[in-house]
Amino acid sequence: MSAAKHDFAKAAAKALDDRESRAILDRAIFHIDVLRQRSVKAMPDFAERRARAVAVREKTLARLPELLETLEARVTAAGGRVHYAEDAAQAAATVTDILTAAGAKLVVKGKSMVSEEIGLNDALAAAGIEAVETDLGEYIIQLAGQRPSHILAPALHVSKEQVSALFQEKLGRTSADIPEMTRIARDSLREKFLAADAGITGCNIAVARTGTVTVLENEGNIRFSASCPPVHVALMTLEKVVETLADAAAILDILPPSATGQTLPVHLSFFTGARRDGERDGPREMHLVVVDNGRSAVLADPVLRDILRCIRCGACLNVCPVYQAVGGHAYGSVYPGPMGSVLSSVLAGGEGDPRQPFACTHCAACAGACPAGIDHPALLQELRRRLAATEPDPAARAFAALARHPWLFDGLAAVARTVDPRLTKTAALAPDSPVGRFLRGRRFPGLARPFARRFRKMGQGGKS
Amino acid sequence: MNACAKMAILGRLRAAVEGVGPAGFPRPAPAQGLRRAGAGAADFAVFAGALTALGPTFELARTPDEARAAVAGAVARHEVRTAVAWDHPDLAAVGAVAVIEGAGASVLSPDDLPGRACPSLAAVDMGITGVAYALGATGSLILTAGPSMPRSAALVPRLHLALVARSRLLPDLPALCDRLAGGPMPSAVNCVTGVSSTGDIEFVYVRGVHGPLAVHVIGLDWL
Amino acid sequence: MDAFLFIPCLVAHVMPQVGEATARVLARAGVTPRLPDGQTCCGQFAYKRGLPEAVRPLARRFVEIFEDAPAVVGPSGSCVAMVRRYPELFDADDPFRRRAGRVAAKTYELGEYLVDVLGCPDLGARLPLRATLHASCQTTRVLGVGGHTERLLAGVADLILTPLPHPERCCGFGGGFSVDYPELSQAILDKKIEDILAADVAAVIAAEPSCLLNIGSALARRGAAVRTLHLAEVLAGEAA
Ligand code: SF4
Repeated sequence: MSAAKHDFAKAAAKALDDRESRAILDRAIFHIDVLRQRSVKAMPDFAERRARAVAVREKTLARLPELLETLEARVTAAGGRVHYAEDAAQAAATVTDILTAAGAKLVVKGKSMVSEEIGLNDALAAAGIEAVETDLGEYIIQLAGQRPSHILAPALHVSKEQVSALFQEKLGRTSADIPEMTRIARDSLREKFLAADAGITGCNIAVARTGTVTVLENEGNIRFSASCPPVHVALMTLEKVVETLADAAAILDILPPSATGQTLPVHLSFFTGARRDGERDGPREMHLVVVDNGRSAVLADPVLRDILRCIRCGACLNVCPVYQAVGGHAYGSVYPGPMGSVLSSVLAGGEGDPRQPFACTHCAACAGACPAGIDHPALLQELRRRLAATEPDPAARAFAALARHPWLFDGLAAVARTVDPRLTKTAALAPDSPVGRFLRGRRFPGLARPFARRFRKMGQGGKS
Repeated sequence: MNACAKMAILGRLRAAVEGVGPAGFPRPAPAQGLRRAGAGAADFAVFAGALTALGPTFELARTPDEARAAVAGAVARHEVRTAVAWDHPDLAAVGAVAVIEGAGASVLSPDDLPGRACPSLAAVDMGITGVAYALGATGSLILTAGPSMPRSAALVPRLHLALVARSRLLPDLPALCDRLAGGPMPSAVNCVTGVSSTGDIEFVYVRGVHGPLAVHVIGLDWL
Repeated sequence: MDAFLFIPCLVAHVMPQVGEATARVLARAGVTPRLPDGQTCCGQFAYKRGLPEAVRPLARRFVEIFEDAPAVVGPSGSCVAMVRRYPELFDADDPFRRRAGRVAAKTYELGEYLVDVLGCPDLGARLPLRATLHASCQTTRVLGVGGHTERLLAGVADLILTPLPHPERCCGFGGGFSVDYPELSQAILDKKIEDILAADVAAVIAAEPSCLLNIGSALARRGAAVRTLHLAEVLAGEAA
């Protein structure tokens, strides 16, 4: 959150130069999307499932305040505590305070994008608390001192050779073999799980009626983080609540297939409050931190509010040509890709490039893949409209003004056709003009004698 | 807790949902019923098919004797020397603890566990549990926590042995949600589908990350 | 039966042959193409730059030009999609909203018109050519008529179609996007070009002129021996 705004164009150009990462990215994204497509195709009722999930998201958003209050009451009744945080700083401070009060020194973390959003690791480090990321991808990213590049597969951009070198450097043990590297990570993380004073997890869905935090994962690290340490802190953004378990089931119907191509992930866990009387394990303290960070304001926005339907499946990232080309880091924000281009624009803190909504080809692949029925191009279009209101954009305005006068429009085309039919002179003279920029790497076929004149010669149909 | 934050946030949310303008809540959409639980009777053939495709192994025991033999076989095959067992009626019906001890392994009961159970199970070879339910369509084991059913038993040891009585089979996830909604939620419900796995390094699928490295399920056909 | 030709500015001034082919295909299908005066640009460029208010006068012009048409047919998915959005540019009580709605409802992408309105007539098209189809985003996902393009191409005699590995992957044009982010646009385009070259074909077909301009200008720059053909040109059998 530096003062200088992130420049996506520059970061993207830099990412494009990194051929090695691009090749890995390409393979990984292609792979993950093939899994999604296969699983969606294998579900004959996917369209119905999607419609049901969208309906659940919609009715939930319409009742958010009431559902959050029910959630709080139920979590409290189950021995947990609910905290609200207005913004990133307050959320990070809340978690830090909980951990400090519990005397926690070592914390294990399950993968949570909210934790990234609120900059939790930095806050914990400042408070002298060691936080260990336990999702294998996040663990790799943490060891490498990087940020996630995908909301589901954070280390998607890292090659196995890089992981191998990283393990050697940081853990003093390595292998060239992926299963063996996974085993090394298992061993070193297991020590942390067993010794940790607290576990921090995200929350995919919170069920108001039962006070339940629902999390999905394949590795089992979240289950460990929420089961073994004496304190469990779950982070959720406020739109993650639904009313009933049946509503949760409607979302579970579409989330794993869209995310990883699975019917269900290996671990689907429902945690309700703290350890009960007589139980031998489970956290003695359970905290649920509800983070706003700009979302309540988005709810009042009749167009952009649809982004709150997002269930973080990552499908829109995987199908986005821009994301495919540059990967997540170029966005300079926690959430990349189509959902990130919208969300970053509306979250408090304003990370990323404010002009991000323009970095989109309007191909609509995201909307086609989104199981939550979000029409990203429409939302980005609205953001463009709001941004454009503050920008001069003389080229677009001039072109539109010109198009109001056919004689001028056609006349100028005729002039250009005689003076510079292939626009090469224009491009050479003004390499940074729209024409010059477009013609980098392209050869314009040339302006031609206009269709209207040819049509009259065709001798079929006349003027109407 | 920060009461100011709560009031401010809920206040904004209320204003948003109550301030109905032309684009009020919810967006017009056709009414949607929920997906109903699968009608098909869940049977062990379907369950085992889904289960074994994801890594766990399965054996069907038609009688208590077959079940005892299956438990003893698993203990021998996996070279189990120490185990932790849930206090669960399906285990009692088989007499599982006696079988394991008879096979030469020592068995911890939930009452033996200290206040921090997980570290004490780090060196235990096997956790044997029953299930609350099992889902036929996905091969999922539904484990619910309780005083005699510690969560760590199915999580920390390297082998998870689960006994699934036929009466506990449900068709699918919606059926499970129906059942769970019918009573108070346990402190933890774990729906485990397969063996823990990852694809975080170059999308190479690796099984056995943080949970048990092996999961073996014995179906109790008569129960 | 008559249909009014909706000729996008790109077709009018850069690829008039696409307009001619469109007129010829309609004539072959028994429809008389008519060209109303005064067409310029549908406003898509300004719209996607976030300037709907700059598009409004163009939408009004369009409505006035095409209001009396029995049907409006254009060889561009993206421009037709723009016209479909015209009504929402006007307030609910602006009479232009209803007028724009009526015009939008009778405006068709060429393939859409041929299949949905004319019932996929036999055009007798023949084109001995190995080609591939770039299923452009605006035709497939935005208008939802990608299947129409495929159906029409399937009826072309002697045309051998080799599918691309990712036919619906964007070509990276995106109007202002290619100007704002030239390197990124090129990188996305490069993947498309690689797919096309790997397909080992003599031509790439699309129902969207802007994709053809984008792809064609990159192929030309590389000196590749692959032509770009609009759906209309293929159906008109002109490339023979
Ligand atoms: S916007 Fe849609 S596709 Fe993208 S992550 Fe969210 S739910 Fe998935």
